[in-house]
Amino acid sequence: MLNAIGAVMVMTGMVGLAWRAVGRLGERAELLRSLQGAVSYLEEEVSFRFTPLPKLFEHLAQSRRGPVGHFFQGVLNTLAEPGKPTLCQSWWKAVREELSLLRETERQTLEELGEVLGQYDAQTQAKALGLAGQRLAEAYIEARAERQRLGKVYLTLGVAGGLVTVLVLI
Amino acid sequence: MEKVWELLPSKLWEAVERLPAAERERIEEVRLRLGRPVSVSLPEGEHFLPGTAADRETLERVLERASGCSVHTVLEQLRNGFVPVQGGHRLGLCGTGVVDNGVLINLRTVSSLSLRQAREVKGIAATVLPALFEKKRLQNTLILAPPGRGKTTLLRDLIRAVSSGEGCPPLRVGLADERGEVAAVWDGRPMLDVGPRTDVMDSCPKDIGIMALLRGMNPQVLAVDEITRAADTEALLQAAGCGTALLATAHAGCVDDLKRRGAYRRLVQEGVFERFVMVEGMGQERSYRVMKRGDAGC
Repeated sequence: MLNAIGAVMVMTGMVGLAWRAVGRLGERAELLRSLQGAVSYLEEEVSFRFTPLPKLFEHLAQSRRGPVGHFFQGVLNTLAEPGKPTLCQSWWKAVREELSLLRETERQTLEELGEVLGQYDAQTQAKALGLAGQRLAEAYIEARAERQRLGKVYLTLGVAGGLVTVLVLI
Repeated sequence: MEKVWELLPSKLWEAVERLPAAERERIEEVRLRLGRPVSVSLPEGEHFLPGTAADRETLERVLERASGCSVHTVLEQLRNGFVPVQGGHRLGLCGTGVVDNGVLINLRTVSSLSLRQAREVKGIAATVLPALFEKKRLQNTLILAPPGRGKTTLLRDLIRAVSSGEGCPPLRVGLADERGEVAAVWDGRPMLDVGPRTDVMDSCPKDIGIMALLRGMNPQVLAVDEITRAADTEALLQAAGCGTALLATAHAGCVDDLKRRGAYRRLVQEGVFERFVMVEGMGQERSYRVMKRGDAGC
C-alpha cells in the first residue's frame, strides 16, 4: 500500500516537473508574441502620432497583463527614481529584471532597441522598432515550434523518468 | 514641474536649492556650459555656483529629461534652438550644428543649455486694458519692445484678462502659439493661465494656426506672439478683414522701426492696428505706454 502511494507520488512529481517545463516553453512563446505586439504598437504610435514614449509605456503597463505589463511599469518606475537614470538605463534594468524567460539573443534585441528609443527622429526610431519587432516575431515562431517539438519529449521523459524511478525504488 | 531646475541631476539641483530662498525666487535662468561651472541668472546678473561643473553626460541627461525622453516630439523646436518643458519653462540649447541644404537639422554636440524659468505675471494687463477699448470694442493692438522686455508676459495677461472678462466683457480668444511660449501647452492643457475662453493652436506655424482658428473656432479675438514672416502678415490681414480683434507682439524699439521692416510695413500702411503698446524699462522700472494710431505716426 505504501509502495503504491509512493509510486503515485513519484509519478505525479516527475510528470508535474515535465508539465512545468512544457509550461515554461509556452510562457516564453506567449511572452515573445506579446512583446512583438507591444513593439509594433510603439512603432505605429511613434511613426504616425509622434506620441511621447512615457505615455506609450503607461498605456502598455496598464493594458498588457503579465511580464510585458510589468516590464513597461518597471521602465516607468526606474525613470521616476530620484537619481534620474536615462531611458536607456531604465529600459535595460527592466529587461534584466522582468523578462527572465528571454534568451540572450532576444534580450540583446531589446537592449539594442533601448539605445535608440527617445534619442532620434521618429523615422529612425520606427525603423529600429520595426527591426526589433521582426526579430521578436521570428523568435516567437521558433519558440512555438520548440514548444510543440519539445513538449512531447518532456512529457514522455517525465512519464518514463517516473516509471524508472518507481521501478528502481521498488 | 514648478521649478525648471528640477530637470538637473541631484547634485546640481541641490546646489541650486542651497541658495537663499529669496534668491531662488528670482532665478530667471540656470545655465550649463560644457566643462564650466553651472550659473544662475538673476535680474541683477549671472552668478556661478561654486563646486559645480557640467559634463557631457549631464547635458545629455538634462536634454533627454526636458524632451520627455522623446526627442521625436520636439525635433522641430530643437532645430529652432529650444525645447518646451512641462510647466511652461523653456530649454535653450546651442552646440555644433548639423546643416543640410542650408537648414539646421540637428545638433551633433550640445555645448550649452539654458533652462529658462517660466514667469507669468497676473494683473499687468489691468493698467493698459481700458485704453485698448473704444466704444466697448477691443481695438487691434500691437505690443512693441526689443527682445526680452516682457512683451509675451503682457500679451499672456491681456489674453487672460479678456478671456476671463476682467475689466471688460468676456471674449472668446483664439491663440496661435507657434513656439508654445504664451500658453505653454503640455499634453493638451495650457500650463500658464490664458483664461477660460481661450482656444490654443500650439506648435503650428502662425499663418496656418490663424486660418485654422478663424475657420474652426470662431474667435472674437485673435492673438499671436511675434509676427516675423510675410505669411504671418498675410494671415493677419485676412483676420483683420473678418472683424476679429487682433492682439499681437513685435520686436521693435519704436513704431518707426516697424515701417522699416518688410513683415510689418504692410500692416502699418494698411492701418491694421489701432493701438500700440510700448513696453519701456526693465524689472521694477517697467512701464507700458499706449498710443493710438494717429499719435504713433502710423
